[in-house]
Amino acid sequence: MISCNEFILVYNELFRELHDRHGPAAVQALWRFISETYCTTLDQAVRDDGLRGMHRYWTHTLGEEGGRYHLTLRDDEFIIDMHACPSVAKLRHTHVAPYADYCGHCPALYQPILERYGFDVEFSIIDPRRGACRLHVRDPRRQPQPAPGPADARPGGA
Amino acid sequence: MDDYLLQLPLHRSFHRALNAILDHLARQYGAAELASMFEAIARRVYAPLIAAVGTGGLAVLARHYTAVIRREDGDVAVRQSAGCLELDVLCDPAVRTIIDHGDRLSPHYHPVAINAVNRAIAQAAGLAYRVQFSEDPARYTHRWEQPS
Repeated sequence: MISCNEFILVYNELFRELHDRHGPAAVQALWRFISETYCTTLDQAVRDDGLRGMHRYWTHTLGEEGGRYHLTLRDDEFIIDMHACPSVAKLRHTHVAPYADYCGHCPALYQPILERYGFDVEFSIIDPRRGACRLHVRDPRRQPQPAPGPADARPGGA
Repeated sequence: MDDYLLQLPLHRSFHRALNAILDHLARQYGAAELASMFEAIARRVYAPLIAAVGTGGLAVLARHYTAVIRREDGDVAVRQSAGCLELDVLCDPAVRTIIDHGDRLSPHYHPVAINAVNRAIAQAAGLAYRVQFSEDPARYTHRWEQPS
């Protein structure tokens, strides 16, 4: 049995094996498959509850996975400040060397789902060695509107 | 398993991810290539276990699988005699997780995630290996033998 705590090691080595045998496009295709087929819980959470759904999803998954992070939820944005990714930590604490683009799987999996529902997404990999990154999601429908100009403010103005 | 990994919290959804990934890879590359990839992966991921079996013998495998399966609330019984180890997996928690969640168990799960992975580990450690599956997908028996 491959235990769930060994999965990340297998996942990392699968990226490497696919890359070596079938090229980087095969790794991208795997990530696209996982995003479209497997990440249905996140998809539903975002579809149902938008930013709050994201917050609920990552509160649960990161709560299980561990790591050192801070989640921020506001009316118009959701932010994950990941200081020490639990997945990268597993690789660093074992004999397995991280795949060169290991951190690339997160934006590949999650960004398309968030953008599908009209959110603006910035994903910054800050330090892949210690697993530091930032996911910043903005809801353009809730961004503060500019103050009305004088013409707009006139009663009856068009 | 590495003591570090044994002490980490469990994120059981990873079993479901692996199950889905196996189907995708089999569709893309075929069952033989899928098994070959996982054999290569197993030799790298389980390199410390393979090395430990080389010095500590079958008892190392018994300790590893017992620890891994019980950590995830599975059930296993061990029978060891001279040069032979049999492990009755009475409840594989990975398979249980996949089924209990309502996912379709991949037809490649047992041949690859169980058989190919363990065969690769055994071959690298110089052991003969076979697995006997049962009608219950979460129940099966591993058998390792040291060459006489």
